[in-house]
Amino acid sequence: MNKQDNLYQHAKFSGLEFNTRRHFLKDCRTGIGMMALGSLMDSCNIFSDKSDASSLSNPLAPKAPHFQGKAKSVIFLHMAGAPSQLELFDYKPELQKMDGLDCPDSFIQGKKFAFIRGVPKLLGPQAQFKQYGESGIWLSDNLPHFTKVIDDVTVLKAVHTDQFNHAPAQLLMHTGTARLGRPSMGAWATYGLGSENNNLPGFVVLTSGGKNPDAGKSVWGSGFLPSVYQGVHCRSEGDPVLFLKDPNGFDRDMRKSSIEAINKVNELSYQEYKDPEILSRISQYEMAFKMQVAVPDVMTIADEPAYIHEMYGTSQGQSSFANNALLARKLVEKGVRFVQLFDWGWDSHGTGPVEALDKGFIDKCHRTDKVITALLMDLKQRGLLEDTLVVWGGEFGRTPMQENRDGKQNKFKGRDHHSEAFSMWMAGGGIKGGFTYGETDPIGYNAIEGKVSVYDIQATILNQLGFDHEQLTYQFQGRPFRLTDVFGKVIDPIIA
Amino acid sequence: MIIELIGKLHPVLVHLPIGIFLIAIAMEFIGRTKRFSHLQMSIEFILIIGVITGAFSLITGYLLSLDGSNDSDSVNLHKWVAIASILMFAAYYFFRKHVIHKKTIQTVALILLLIMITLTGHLGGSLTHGEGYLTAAFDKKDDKSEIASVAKFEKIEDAKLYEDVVLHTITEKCVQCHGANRQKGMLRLDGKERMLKGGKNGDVIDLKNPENSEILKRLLLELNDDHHMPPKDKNQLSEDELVILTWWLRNGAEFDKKIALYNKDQKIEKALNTFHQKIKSETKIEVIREKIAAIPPSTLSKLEKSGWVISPLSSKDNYVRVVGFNLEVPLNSALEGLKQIKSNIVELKFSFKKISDSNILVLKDFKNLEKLWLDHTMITDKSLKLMNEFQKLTYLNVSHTAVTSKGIEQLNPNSMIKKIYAYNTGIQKTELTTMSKRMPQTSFFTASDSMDVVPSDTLFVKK
Repeated sequence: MNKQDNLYQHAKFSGLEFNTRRHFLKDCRTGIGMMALGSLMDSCNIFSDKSDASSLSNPLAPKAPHFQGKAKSVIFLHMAGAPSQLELFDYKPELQKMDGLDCPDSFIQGKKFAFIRGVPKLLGPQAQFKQYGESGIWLSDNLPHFTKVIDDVTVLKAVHTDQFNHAPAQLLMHTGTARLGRPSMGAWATYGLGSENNNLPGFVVLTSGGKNPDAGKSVWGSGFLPSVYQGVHCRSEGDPVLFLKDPNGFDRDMRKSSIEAINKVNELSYQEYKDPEILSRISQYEMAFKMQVAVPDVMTIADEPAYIHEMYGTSQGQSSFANNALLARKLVEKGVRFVQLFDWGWDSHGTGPVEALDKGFIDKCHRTDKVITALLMDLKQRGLLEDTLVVWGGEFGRTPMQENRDGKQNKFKGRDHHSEAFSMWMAGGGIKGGFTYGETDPIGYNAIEGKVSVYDIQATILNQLGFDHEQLTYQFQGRPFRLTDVFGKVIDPIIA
Repeated sequence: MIIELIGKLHPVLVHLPIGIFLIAIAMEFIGRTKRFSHLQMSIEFILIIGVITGAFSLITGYLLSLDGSNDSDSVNLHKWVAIASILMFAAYYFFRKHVIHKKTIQTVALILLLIMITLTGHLGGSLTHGEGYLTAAFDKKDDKSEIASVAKFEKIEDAKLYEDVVLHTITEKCVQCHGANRQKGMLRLDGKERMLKGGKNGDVIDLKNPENSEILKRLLLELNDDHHMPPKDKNQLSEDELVILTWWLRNGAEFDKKIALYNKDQKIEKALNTFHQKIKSETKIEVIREKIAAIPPSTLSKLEKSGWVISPLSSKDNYVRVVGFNLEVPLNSALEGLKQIKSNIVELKFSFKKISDSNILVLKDFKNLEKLWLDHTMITDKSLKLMNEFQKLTYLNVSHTAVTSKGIEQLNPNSMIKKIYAYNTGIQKTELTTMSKRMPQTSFFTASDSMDVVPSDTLFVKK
């Protein structure tokens, strides 16, 4: 040992002599404190309840709502493109008298429209109205069948939104914000209640009309919720879900053991990384395996009797709204929580015959009126309507003025996007029948009574499922999020 | 903002001068003995500190009074008594050496000061805690407020106008200041007798001419009027509540009459309806069921493994809805398993199961069943007799089964079942009237009316 080392040793020992009992106690105190802090700050969500994320249990297992809800499932019929309330539900005889007059300044001053420029002309209702049912609700002749079920329906005549373009308005309607990234209503419902049939997805989406909604798949996305709650978009033509059949030479047992092996690996990596998305993946593998049997059974309308096909007006083998509606009934019957139907083609601007209120629009009405009526009747006769909430609506309404794109009168009768007041309806699931709520001014421009917002609609839907919309939250990025953000009030008068 | 914050410090700060002055008084008395005579030296210092902190309390108190949330009369009284007390203490400081040198005069002065400081403190306390806070223990006997209870009526017609409607509004909007905790103007409105007794300014309800009652006058005064009730910054009565209250007074201010016995015009109907809606949404009228023990987790997981999906109906009780679309074990043992949770089951869905008449006998003791789905099963008329066992059953679905009207005849005619769904069964539409006649409380549903063919069905507009 050379001298240098010796010196070093000596310094070290004399240094240690200063390490008294006091130092030891001091170190212990801060040390233990740090350890405690460390375990507290395990993740960023210091205060969140982690029990649900860390268990390997089924994310779709049934969960208790806040109170007993009247509805167990929801069918949301979204008429994408926004149908004109003035040709369907909101009867405005005054507007007829003012047909062709310039729109008063007070209505358009400071307002922004999607296409209307300058001073547009008012456009009277392009349909005949009559009162129907015991309740005497006004309906247009575009809904000849619907008149039969009007006594089961509550029409909301003064809904308003704050978006006047399709994509943001659709996002607002389904996710509670006009921007991307939030979970959709169906995702919230399945997150809150779980599923009653673990062989099927809890949230199914069906589209018709030849085009997906403008807002894209985000309107049935799961946002920051685990992706197991996202809507499953089924094809309405051909196989509803692709690749359900096992390849040749691959039998069910082999499929089972391979999925089990994959899930085993996934479980191990979950234990290592604790990423909740791995849990979603595990349950999705499991569900896919079960769906191979269950889906071909449910997602076909071939086994329905002829009179049901006739009732809905289905066209087998093709993609149609009627087929989707019939499927919606079948899915709800089998315990699916939320069925979302999108039917595109209601954007009646009047730029061409397809978009004309007296041509293409009527065609659209004919193709859906019978279907929707059949759906309500069918749900009712099967005893499903009382715990299935059916909601109908577009993303906004249409102006009482005729559209004048770029200041020139459009060739056909059409209306521009309108956010101030439009009509929606709800039926079943504990909602009053034969009731209207809300009123618009004599030309149908503004809501003057019973004005409800999109958030109110969402709050009401959640309420019927048994949720206080202010309490159904999800902790994300350090704060609890909810579907209705900071808005929304349950529309009590329409609840039976 | 800052002013408000400083004002809010008042309730904390006031304890300083009170405590300091009390100590000063105590030291004056104790200092008279020989043993503690040295205390005399400190008294002047303590009095100075007391006056300074007292001044601060006055300032903060004044700032607090600016928000006007309290009755200005009592605030004023408290303020002037407080100022007087502090001035008297200051005066005592200056004169204790010269004028007040006789023991008797000093004693009188000290007792006076003690009374002043106690009074100030008491008045302040009444402001924060409400009048009568101190003496609440003594008059507890008849202090129980008659406040509106949870709605006991299904239809608004069955409600009592005073007890269920008017009292509800009063409880919500008036009793905060005219109730057990505070009695502003010596008035209490939480109950019939107290209301009739009136307050400092006389009767609030004039039984001879109710429409001329003080309560109504006060409510109808302009918002900015000093005598308007409720005070400007408090929660006001809604239009509908005012309509109902006026209507009640106009009809003689009766305390026990049901709404059904009054004549109503459209405006009243509307107001009553709005009120009813409000009550309904406040209380979220729910089915009230007996309390019951939760399902043990081991039982639950065992049943779930056998394929039952058991959903809690709400997070408030332990009743469940049971659905079994995908059973993993033979039907018999699956059904047998349900017996363990029979009293928890309120809704039971057997749809699409191969359940026969003999299987269903398992349900015999499921006394709490309210909704039962037997649609798309193999049951026949035999099973319907069992339905009479379920006293709480309100919904029965036998669609797509071999049930006929013979089976329905076995049901108790006074059955509680409200709805029976019998679509696609042996029951004919023509039999419905006889069935409804026999069971007047039950509605029957079979196939919906077929849809008429309308021209638009085949006619598509060319694009």
